[in-house]
Amino acid sequence: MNSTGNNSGRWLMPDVLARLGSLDLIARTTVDGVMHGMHRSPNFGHSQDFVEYKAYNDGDDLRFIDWNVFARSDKMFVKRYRGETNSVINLMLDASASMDYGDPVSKIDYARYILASLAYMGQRQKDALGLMTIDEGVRERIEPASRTDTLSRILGLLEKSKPGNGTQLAETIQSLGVHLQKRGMIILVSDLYGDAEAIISALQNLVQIGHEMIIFRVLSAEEINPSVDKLSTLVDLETSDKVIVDPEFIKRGYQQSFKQHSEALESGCGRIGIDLVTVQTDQPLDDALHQYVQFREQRAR
Amino acid sequence: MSFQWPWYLLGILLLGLPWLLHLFSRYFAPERPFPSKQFLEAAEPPKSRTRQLQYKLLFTLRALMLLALCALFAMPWFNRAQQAQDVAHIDYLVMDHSLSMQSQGRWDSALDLLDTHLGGLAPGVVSKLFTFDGALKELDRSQLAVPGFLRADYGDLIRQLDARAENEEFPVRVTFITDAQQTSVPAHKNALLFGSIEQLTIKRVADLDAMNFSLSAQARSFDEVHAHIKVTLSASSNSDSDQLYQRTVRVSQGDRVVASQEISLMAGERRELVLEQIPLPASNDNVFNVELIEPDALLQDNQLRVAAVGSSPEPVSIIQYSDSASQAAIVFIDTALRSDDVATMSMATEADLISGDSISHVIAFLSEEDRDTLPASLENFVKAGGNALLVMVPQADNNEVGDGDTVTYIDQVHALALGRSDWSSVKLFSTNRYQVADNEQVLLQTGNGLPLLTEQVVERGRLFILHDALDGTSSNLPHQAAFVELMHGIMNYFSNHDLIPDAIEVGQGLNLPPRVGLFRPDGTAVGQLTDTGQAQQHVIRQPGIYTLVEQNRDRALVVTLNPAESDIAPMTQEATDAWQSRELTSTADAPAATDSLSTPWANIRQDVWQYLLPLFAVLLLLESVLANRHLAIKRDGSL
Repeated sequence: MNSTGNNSGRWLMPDVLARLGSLDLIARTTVDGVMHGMHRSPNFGHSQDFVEYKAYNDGDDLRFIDWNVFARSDKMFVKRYRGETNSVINLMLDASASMDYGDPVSKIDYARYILASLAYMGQRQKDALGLMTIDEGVRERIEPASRTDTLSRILGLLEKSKPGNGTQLAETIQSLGVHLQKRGMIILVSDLYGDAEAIISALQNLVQIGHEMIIFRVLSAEEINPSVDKLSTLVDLETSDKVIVDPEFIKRGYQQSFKQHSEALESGCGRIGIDLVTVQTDQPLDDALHQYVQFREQRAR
Repeated sequence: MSFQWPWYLLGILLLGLPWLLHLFSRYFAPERPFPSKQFLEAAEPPKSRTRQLQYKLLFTLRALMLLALCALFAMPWFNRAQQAQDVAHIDYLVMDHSLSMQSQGRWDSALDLLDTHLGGLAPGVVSKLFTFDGALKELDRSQLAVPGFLRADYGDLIRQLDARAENEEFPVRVTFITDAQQTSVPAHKNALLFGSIEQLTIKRVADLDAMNFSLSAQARSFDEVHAHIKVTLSASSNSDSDQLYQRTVRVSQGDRVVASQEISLMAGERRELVLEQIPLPASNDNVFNVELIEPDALLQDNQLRVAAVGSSPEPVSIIQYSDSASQAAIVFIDTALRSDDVATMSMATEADLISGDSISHVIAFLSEEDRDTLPASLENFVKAGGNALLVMVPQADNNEVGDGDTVTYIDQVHALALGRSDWSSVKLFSTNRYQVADNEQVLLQTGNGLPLLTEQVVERGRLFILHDALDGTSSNLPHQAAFVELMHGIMNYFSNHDLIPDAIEVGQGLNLPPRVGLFRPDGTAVGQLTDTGQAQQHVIRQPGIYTLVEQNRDRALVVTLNPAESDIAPMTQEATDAWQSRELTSTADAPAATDSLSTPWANIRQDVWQYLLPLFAVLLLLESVLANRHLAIKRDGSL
């Protein structure tokens, strides 16, 4: 995936953004860059923008009848406007140890950039923003709110979230139903290691509650196609287990298993209506944000 | 261990090369982090079982190969061990029978060692018992007697043993029971190297710390009224003792003590004592008994008998044929003969020589041009039993040698003892072109092959011919100390023209001329008097005052102990070990006293190799076992 085609994309490369240091600055830079490259504002807000006419039916609000049209055509039409959507957005960061991997930036850093940018974008849309960091459970949480300091709190939590423990993604997502009673949007950034069916099953519970979900699956090119050309000992970042692997297996067995896992996730997410966006840590960050904007547009319709 | 092959064993170190290669090329799969092992499978389990079987076969082959290589390198060592167990050999038991073995229980200790060794011999081993006291004698155990007074030289021993071993059907192993006396080690250490002998084992007799003092003495009388006795006392120890000992030297004649003096010395020292003005008895018995009062390790050398030798100078007549003698030559000869009162010189004529009554020794000068014919008067004189030194004066223009010719050949065995003198400084500027006659023996010869001194036997007398003018210009011979020693030697030879000296050491051979008898101190004859005209060879085996009975006089022959046997200082253990293992380090020029046979490394190497070899084998086996535990991976890390 490339950026939008303009030159601004080159500034959104993860390794370049990493030099900015502050998540706030990274988020502003990213979002401004994304907005600049778009022909149409993604601001769906609650403006007075006219969208379409609709034939009047019984029960329609008489306030929205266009009387000028009725005078000219003797037919009653109702004017429809883009409604304001003051959404609740729950950001979720997978802070398990497996996220501490990748090049040129680690997966967790890439995830921070995405979440910070989305948070910044959401604040501009007056959305109620919340954040959860998860690994073997919910580690830390900021309740969704649309206060002015919410963004800074979210950025602060993102800053201090360090990868450490193992991951039990399916169980953790399964337990989120208790915390996320108010329907809204859930944005999960994770590498989605774990049993695919269990993860899909857990996600399905959230969707059934009424949440809309988009998942950014962050991967490193090295884990998609590991460059193992000789007998090597691979150390699991979450369990510290050592596995001596044959380069031939990596070329065939590993990639086959990885692909099956990815396909299972994609088909499962598609089946339950979750947008799964796979991004790599060496891709420009605005690619991921464009995916998000498209997602919002579809949702608005 | 032999001389060279231990170094070949260093090749075993090469066996460590595969181990080093393996060590440095051993592959460790590099560790690297990975997000999750969810999709990973370990590489080891699927292939290990099949590879294990291959490894065992490989391991066995590899271990066998390495062991075979080790054995190959160590073959000499195995051979040696095998030889040690091999019974097909002849066992020579040699007992040191020299005088020093009489010292303080050494002989008893030697007998114990012998009996222990004989008791431990494997059945079937052929054993021969010898004694060695300069000569190797085979005998039975029952014939073994106490050692005598002779000296043992270990170089002679090895030479005689090697000669015997050459003729044996089986390999010979020698066990030498000895006190390992340092003075018995030959000056040339290579003489200790044995070739035909397969193995030499030296068993040293037990030895307590002891000191020994030995005596030697000379007695002379200048006036036939008093004697002048010079006593030399030497001390030796078989330990590192530096204690000062006091000894009393007593001189007696019969039961009468004529002198006594104390002297202090420590081990390794040699002191001389001169006893003057000892009155000679009125009788003809001029034999003195010199003894040490205090006992020591070796009693046999604490007492000796010495006869006072008269020192009246021999009369020598100078005769000139054709005025060939220079005044300088006569002065040089006179000076040399007068020193130590060896002889008195007088001028004589040819007529005096012909009458011959009052002339016994002659120094004649003859010009080289007359050399073809010996003057009749001189020839008759010699034939009648007279002795003459003929100085053959070279012609002035004869065979000039610019830088001077040197003496390059010296007859070392002649009774003149020419080898004791330093001839290296003698330069001859004019020499004779002299043809040596058939009955003539060259005693000194120059680098140009010209004789300087020859001897002719002319019937009963002796004739020396000296080819030099002795004037100090045709050569520098008269200026050299060797000239004085030569003249003294010639005079001594003339006065004992039957070649029998006044004193000899035990073990020395003595050629008794015809019609000369030799009697032991107890009066028994040595050999049989013969009238065959053939000289008889006798070896004198006991010290004492012997009596020589000649045609017209009797005289004493003093037979003394060899002082080397009185020195009881032993070889070091390292030296004997080196001798056994043929690890001798000496060169031919190394002095005997300071040179050491010690090569401690020889023993260390021998010990180390014995342990190093199995250690290497164990290490290599261990390495193979450990290597077997590793994955069989290629150097690039692939399986």
